[in-house]
Amino acid sequence: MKKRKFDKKAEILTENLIFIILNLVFFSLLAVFIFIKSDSSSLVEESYAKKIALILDSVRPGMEVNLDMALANKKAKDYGGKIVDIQGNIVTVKLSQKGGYSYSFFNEANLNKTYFYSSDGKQYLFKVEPYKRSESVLK
Amino acid sequence: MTDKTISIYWFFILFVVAFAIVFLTYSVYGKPLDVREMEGIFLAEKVADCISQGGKISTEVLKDSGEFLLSDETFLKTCHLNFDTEKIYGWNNDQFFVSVNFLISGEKEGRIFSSGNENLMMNSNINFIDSRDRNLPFCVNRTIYSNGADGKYYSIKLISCARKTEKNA
Repeated sequence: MKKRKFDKKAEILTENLIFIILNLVFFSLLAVFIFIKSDSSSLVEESYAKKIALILDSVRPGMEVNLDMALANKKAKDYGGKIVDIQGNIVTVKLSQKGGYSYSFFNEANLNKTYFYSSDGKQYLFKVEPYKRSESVLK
Repeated sequence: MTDKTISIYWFFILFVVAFAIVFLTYSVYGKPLDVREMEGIFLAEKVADCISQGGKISTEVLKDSGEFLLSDETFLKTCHLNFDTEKIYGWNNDQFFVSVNFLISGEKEGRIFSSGNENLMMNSNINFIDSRDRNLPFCVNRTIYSNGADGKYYSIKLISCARKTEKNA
């Protein structure tokens, strides 16, 4: 009689333990899912590519724009390539070998080639020179 | 029996919580950042800067004689714009539209110059992004007033539209 009672207690304990472990696994998976989604490099790539494209859409000749890219730099720790690349009117931000996001801008801004200048890799400077094709209409 | 019933309810609650979290996460992080509104505004400002500075219409746009140097073909070049940037996606100069209407004060009809994809402009999408149909392009409507070198006073109506729904909506 005593043994049966002891067995039942052990059974309840095991059931509760499994229940608690399953709950913990479930909430851990949810937490990991949210963390992966919110911390993804692709979001940062998209955000910076669009930011830079908008900056280049709004600049005028003679302007210098400084952009803090510390977050991109942090994400691209293991990536040795060029983080920002501007070819023609398309900005590409790449934080990993497989990643990369491109966005275009409509302004024919003539950028100084040192647009990726930064002493510590965190600050990007975009210098805009006078228009190439003809004299600026701005007097 | 009671314990088992509680467990079933508990797992039902967990399922509901999981569904809510996944749904909210996708609704926040699953959509691309929408920058069409800013692009439309910047485009309108860029064109306004190009045709008028300090309350005077640029002499590259309007001559002293009242003759317009601007044309639909030279519009983009004069204003240092390039709409043909997304060829890699097979989009040919159809993601933007810009139109300028020079109205002389007191007159009903003006000179209109435009470039880009004119199908983007609809009455329903001026200064407005429809939350239900986000695939519509975004258009900006602005009016500026400026003096021409010909001594006339112009009201200039600008319309700029940005589509790029594939990357924004």
